[in-house]
Amino acid sequence: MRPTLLLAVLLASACRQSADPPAVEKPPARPALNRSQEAGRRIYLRHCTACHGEQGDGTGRNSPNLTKPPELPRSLTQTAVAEWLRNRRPRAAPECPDWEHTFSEAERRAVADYVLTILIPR
Amino acid sequence: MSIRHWTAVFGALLLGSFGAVVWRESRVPAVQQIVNPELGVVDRCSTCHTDKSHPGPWLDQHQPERFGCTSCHEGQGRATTAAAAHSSDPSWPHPLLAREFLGGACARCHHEDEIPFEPYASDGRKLFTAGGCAGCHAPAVPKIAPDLRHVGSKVNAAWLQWWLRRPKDYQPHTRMPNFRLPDREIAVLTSYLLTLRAKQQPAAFSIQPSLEEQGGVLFRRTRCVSCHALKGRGGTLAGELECVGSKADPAWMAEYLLEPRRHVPNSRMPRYRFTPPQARAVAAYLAGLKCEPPPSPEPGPAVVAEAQRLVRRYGCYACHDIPGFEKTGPVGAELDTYADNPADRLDFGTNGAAVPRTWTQWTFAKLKKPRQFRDTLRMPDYEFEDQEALSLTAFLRSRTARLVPVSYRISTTSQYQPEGAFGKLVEDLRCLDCHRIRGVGGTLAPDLSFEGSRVRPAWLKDFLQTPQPIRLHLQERMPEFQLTAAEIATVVNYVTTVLVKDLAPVELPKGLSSQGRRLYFERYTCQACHQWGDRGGAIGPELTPAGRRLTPEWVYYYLRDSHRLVGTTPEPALHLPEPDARAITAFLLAR
Repeated sequence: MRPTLLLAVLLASACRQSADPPAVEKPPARPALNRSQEAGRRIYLRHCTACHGEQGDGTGRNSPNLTKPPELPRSLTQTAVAEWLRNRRPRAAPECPDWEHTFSEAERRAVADYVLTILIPR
Repeated sequence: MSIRHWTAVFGALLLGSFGAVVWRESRVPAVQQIVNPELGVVDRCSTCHTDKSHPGPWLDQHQPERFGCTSCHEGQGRATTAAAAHSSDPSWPHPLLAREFLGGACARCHHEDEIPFEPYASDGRKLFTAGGCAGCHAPAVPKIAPDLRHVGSKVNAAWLQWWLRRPKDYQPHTRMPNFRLPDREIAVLTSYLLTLRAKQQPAAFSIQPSLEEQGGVLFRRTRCVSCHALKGRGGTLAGELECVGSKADPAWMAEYLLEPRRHVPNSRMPRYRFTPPQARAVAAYLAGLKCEPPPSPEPGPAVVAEAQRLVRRYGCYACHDIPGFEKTGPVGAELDTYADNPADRLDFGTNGAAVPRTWTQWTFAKLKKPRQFRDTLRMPDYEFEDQEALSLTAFLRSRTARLVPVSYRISTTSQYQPEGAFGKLVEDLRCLDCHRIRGVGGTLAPDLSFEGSRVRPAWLKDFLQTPQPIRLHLQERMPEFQLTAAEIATVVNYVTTVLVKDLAPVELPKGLSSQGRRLYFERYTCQACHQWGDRGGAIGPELTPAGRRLTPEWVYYYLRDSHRLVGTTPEPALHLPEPDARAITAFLLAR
């Protein structure tokens, strides 16, 4: 065999090992929320709880001041939440402010990740 | 056999051993590597990891061709076999990190308070500094716990024993860890601490019910619950006061309220300008807040030598000022390069604790039960929750000698320090415990970095005299400090000249107000959060009196981009178009 072919076969066999689960250790414990969900939780607490409530059920401290309780629909998807934060439809919820310029795309996704954890019972 | 047959066999072989990836990309496999000498990165990971997708937004800011892989994931980048690259061999210093601990890599470059999308390592860093780890492990820091040089004049034996047995029984949120002291050591330390008295004992006074009542009124008026909790309700900046009458001597408390830093030089409490009778009244009220301490053996005679041996052994002086220990060296291991320890250099001990032989497992286990590896260990028990221990472990992973070039460091460290007469007042009233200026200070109260551009001087003067709450739903209130006219003038002068942002003047033509009103109520529904007249929510401040408080420039530029002025505001960044912002400003500020 030519040397390049030999190298190729050797390399290939080295790479094939990566198909096995990598030797990453198991963490001693896992936090309840992953990194993105936790980042989202902090944003949600800061900007959203006042009206939507901690569970998204529309029982926030400010909700009695609104025309109707701002309950989050149970059937949200990540894309829907992120899209709402990017491009709110004022007619659907006139009292929810415009969040377009407040968050980056990654922040919008993080909020969506968190919102899904409170809406869908685990 | 035809040549076609051999081609097929060779093709199958190739497909089998190189994997579909190589075949699909139809390239000759070769070692791929990313080299960045600045970061010390030679990463061959991409030889096998040819899939270019990577979860999350991370690669937008951390281009692989610049950062490589091991800058974040660790592991052995130079390795040429998968096993060696991933190896978690206990003798190798940088095994591939589990996802939970990647924050440690972030914290090597990111020195800001909040690392973007890495909440856990940010928490870990905060815990490390605020929780007092630095006292023993990085000793060149100010002591975080109360000065004990006069503690004998303040507290009594029964309380000290209660406290030393398990601090969290008395004060659920205390940073003081549990040293798990045996009874004899508690008795010895109690007797010793009671001998540390002020030269001049505070003057005792008699407590009448009327005085207590008067103190209660003052306690509520001063809004002590902004920082202190009472039976679980109130702030967390300072201690719970439910049982303070069983702890502190009323005469001592009266002196402390008058001049907090006389007996406790590192106290964070503001000086409230109480008159001596007022201070005695508040102390009398606090003295009535009693609980029954659990029974404990009488402290024996003070065995000073033994007590001092204990203070040295446990390193009490690392967080507290104790006479005779001003120059004693650090008690804990230095942690600056702790993450470079391979697992086999860590002491898994003799107690048979079943902890897997890795750095992260050891660190987590140590934080959860500090003395589990050997009976002779002396690190106290901080009673960390799992999540706290995980956050600290992630942060500790950033403590490495691997240098990060300055151009990679992201830091928000601010050196702001108010000077002159204003600086003295800020120190005396501890303004920066709650407020933040130019990145320094607390987060309980509004950021004052540009307060001079936000509010009108006349309003500020009135507010400092009698603070009227701006956000009614908040429990925390600006206290009434009983400032003199000269002090108020000092503050107003500093705020309006130094704490300002250049904002171009805004012209508000007449007749815009009614248009602004429509925009406020109909287009932007500001009343959902901001009350106007008797309508509206209570998340933001009520805006009816805004005209007296805010400057037109502030309102206008805030509506244009609130986050440019106050980065931490919960208000959305509205980015209103110019004419709308102008109209709403005119409406809000119309007199």
